[in-house]
Amino acid sequence: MQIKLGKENLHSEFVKLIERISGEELANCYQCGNCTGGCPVSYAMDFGPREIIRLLQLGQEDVVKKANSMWLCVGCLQCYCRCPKGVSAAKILEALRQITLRKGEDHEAIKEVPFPFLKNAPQQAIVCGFRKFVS
Amino acid sequence: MKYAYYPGCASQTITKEYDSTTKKVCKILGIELLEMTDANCCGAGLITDYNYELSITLNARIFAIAEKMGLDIMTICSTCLMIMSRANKELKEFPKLLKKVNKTLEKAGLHYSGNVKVTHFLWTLSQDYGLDKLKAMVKKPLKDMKIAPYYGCHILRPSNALGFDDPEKPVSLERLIETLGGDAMPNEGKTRCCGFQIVLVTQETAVDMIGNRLKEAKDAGGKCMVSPCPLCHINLDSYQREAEKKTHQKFEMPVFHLSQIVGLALGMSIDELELGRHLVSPENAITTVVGD
Ligand code: SF4
Ligand code: SF4
Repeated sequence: MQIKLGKENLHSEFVKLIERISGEELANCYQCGNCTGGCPVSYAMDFGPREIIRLLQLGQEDVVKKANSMWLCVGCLQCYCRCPKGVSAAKILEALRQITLRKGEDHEAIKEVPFPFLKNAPQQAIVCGFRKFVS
Repeated sequence: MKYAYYPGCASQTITKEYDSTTKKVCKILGIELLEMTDANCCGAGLITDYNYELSITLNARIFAIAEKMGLDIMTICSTCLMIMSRANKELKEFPKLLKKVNKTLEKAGLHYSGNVKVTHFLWTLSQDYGLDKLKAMVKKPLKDMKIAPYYGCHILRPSNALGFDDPEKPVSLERLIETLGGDAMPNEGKTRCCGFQIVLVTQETAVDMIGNRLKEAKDAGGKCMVSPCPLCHINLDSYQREAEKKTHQKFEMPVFHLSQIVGLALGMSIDELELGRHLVSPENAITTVVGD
């Protein structure tokens, strides 16, 4: 993957917003990968939690926004629990979701979910699927 | 021993049997559960996204009702436990927030001082009630029952708000199973997520995760599982057939609610334990003579 680095991405408003919402300082992460190692869904993510943090450290807003990672995070907090630096990747992914959801955008359109599925899925799962704050 | 009882939404709908069997078990044990008839939803974290203060206020309202009752809260849902514990921690740590929230609560004639404790049924049994006392109540030990403990996430993490058990190497369920006379079959998946949050986002990945948890329990020699969380139960029980189809293997892994294995050891019958409500029938996993 090729990425362009410049002052404008490293100190972008987007990165600052992520830090403000999550309360996490991205520079605290030293990329050990413990979070991804413990993450039960990292295998299905475009970028695991460690990579998401690295991309954010490098100000790669577009790549991160397009990745499915924030929607696949189950909020199990394994990443936070194992991080030697006390960084919560879960909170960072949560901040990403908040930014998207607050714009009225979503990863799921309820109209597009097949009816038989909605009928059979546990109601709590349906609510979780649409709006989640778990970190 | 008396608690303000907060079953949570799942156990009032899909997993009704968890609620009713907890009440029956507590009655036998002499733990008094007082219903919080006017309590609201903990928000399950779902509105924090839109309005943080409202979500904290909703939780503070639950605490204020318990305070009025003069009792601490006991829940049977891990997610309610986590959400309430986190809100309680913030209300304790930030007096300004507590003050602001109380201004809103005043309008409803409520007040929260910040002193209500939130606990889970598992913690109550392990700590407040005590395993020795529980052991003395066992009538039908769960002899030769190979039970895989499954904690899931929110009864353990974030440990700075919960802190009862080790977030990576918890033991309370194993201790409880042994107290009831069963064989605890711990496995590496016991603290991993069941995937409940992403059933709708990607059912495929969720079913994979469910399959993994069931396989880990089975490989460790478990003939059944026990879960302290109704949401994990919903996932592991109702999507088990899907997981079997996807992984081309048979699990036949019944999942008990916490209250049900306690009730079994206390001599309650299959009917009383409402085991018929589960999709994967737990009857084959029961090796002991159950009560009539
Ligand atoms: S575990 Fe912590 S320090 Fe290590 S990569 Fe993940 S966030 Fe960074
Ligand atoms: S909280 Fe999200 S990112 Fe962290 S380990 Fe769990 S699924 Fe992975």
